[in-house]
Amino acid sequence: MTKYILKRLGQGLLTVFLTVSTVFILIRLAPGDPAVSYAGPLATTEQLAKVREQFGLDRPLLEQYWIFLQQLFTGNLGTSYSFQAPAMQVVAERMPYTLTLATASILLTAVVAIPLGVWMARRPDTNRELGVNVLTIAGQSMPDFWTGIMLLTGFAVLIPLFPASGFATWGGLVLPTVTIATLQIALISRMVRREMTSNFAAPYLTVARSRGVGSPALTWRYAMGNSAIPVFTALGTRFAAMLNGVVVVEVVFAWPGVGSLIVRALETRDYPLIQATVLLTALLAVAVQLVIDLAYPLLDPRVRLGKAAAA
Amino acid sequence: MNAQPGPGRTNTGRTESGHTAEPALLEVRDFQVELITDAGIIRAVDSVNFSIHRGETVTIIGESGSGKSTTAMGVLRLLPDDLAVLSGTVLIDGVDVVTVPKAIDKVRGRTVALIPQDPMTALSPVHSIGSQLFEAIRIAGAASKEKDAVRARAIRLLEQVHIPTPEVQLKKYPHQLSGGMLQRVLIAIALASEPQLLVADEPTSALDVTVQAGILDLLLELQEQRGIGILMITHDLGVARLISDRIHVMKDGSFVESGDVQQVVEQPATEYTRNLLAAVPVLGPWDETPAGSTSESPSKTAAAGDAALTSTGVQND
Repeated sequence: MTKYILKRLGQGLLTVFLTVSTVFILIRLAPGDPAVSYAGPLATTEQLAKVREQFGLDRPLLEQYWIFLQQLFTGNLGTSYSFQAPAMQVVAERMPYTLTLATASILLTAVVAIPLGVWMARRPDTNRELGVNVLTIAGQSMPDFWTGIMLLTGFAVLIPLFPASGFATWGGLVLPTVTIATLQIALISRMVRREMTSNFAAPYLTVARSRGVGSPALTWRYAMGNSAIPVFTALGTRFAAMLNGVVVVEVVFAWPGVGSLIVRALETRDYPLIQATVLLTALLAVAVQLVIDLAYPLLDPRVRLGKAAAA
Repeated sequence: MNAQPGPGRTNTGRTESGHTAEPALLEVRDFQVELITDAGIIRAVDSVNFSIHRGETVTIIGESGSGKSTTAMGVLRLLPDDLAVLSGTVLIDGVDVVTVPKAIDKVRGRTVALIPQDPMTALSPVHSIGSQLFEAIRIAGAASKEKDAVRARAIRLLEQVHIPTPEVQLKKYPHQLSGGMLQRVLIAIALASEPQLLVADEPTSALDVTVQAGILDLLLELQEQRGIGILMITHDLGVARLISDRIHVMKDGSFVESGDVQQVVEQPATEYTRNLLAAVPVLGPWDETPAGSTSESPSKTAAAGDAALTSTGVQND
């Protein structure tokens, strides 16, 4: 087990390293000059040269990469051009906001989507199930910036129940969370329905029914117990994706998270800030993925006992 | 094998009701199952009558699609309610489960138990053998619900079906056991409620031939000990012969022939039964020349039998 964890940890760190290295090269290949963004459009050639020298952008690419690697191992990715503060610190300050939003969204998704999917699976082909089915297709099809703007118009402007932007009060969490969860609930509930439907048709369920197992136990203990792995994986993967910043929703709601930060960092070609954001979110995503992998054996004995069974 | 046609014995339903001393464990009268499919309504089971008393084994034998498994599943109301329409009378220990659908909850896991076709898929893969057996014991409600008592009973049940080291097996998961062992576990689960009637839906067809005999021996042993009635569904005449008291030959949803096992095997009254008999491979010296139609290959005779039967229009009860 320890060997397995170490192996997965090693793979994860390699993934992070390759990701940040790729981003390091890509942002330098992309058009745009950080010096121009920093010094302004009216800067003279001498001023630009001075800025480049200050940021170390005048050095050969390989040397820049070598410096970047050294920074990577000390955990200090340099100073953000636009914030004039350590880039890692800038990102770390934004991280809790994105974590809060992602956690709230995934919790809301799980709490609504799982019972909804089970409900649909238990009442196939009824009118109400058809109605909910259509709603989930709608939820899947609405782009989140549109959902966000509609919710803003509805519940912040016309009926001012919640703040329109920022995270000054807990109320500010509601609209962005609902916006993100709308799409996720639509996707996850349909997946739960699919998994549950196939498990309801499984022979072991008929046999369990034949020995007098009641309907709640058939649904939750048996069908849900056997649907847990794919559903849990989907929820975990979506959570990891949200940690990379829910860019569009954060921008719509002026949410002070990593998503809106990366937009600003890209606009200003703030290389250290981009690299710090990518490093931190990649690390988090890998950590979440590792937790998911380690949870599999708890949900499925076939994973847990893979080796013991062969012996 | 003697393939000489016997006297007209196609309707022996009446001899079954001769057992009037005690009420039947299972009394099936004019039972019909209609399946709703995309192609329309199919009458999968058409007016079948049979009964099973204590200690009796009644076998329904037929080819694939003859409706034998549908009969068994229908009797236990395990067909989906929205796709299968049941009619007629099914009395399980006197409880009518067709007229009063809810009544099945009183007999399932108590009076009657199912032994399924494929043991490999009949247990939930993510729950241990023990937890599924404990659950059955708790549902049966016979023993004390205390953990230790349930566990002790589980171990006793596994011993009764001759599973070695039951304590160890309880912790295992279905994928860690062989098909034969799983079928023994399923029989133990079925026995948890001390059922009076077992419905065995092709209990050996998914197992190796060497394992099949062990499972059938076990069923016979349990029947002898407890006087359980068994409804056996099979397409295997060898199985039917070994285990049954009475046999019903099913084709296209109806019984084409019914009677005492020896009688049906030795003097089949219909072409269909003769073809079923002929389809059993016979072990013997190579130079032995089988009599009559048995010289043809099993698949060919079966196909010929189908054609022959449809033209004869055999009557059933």
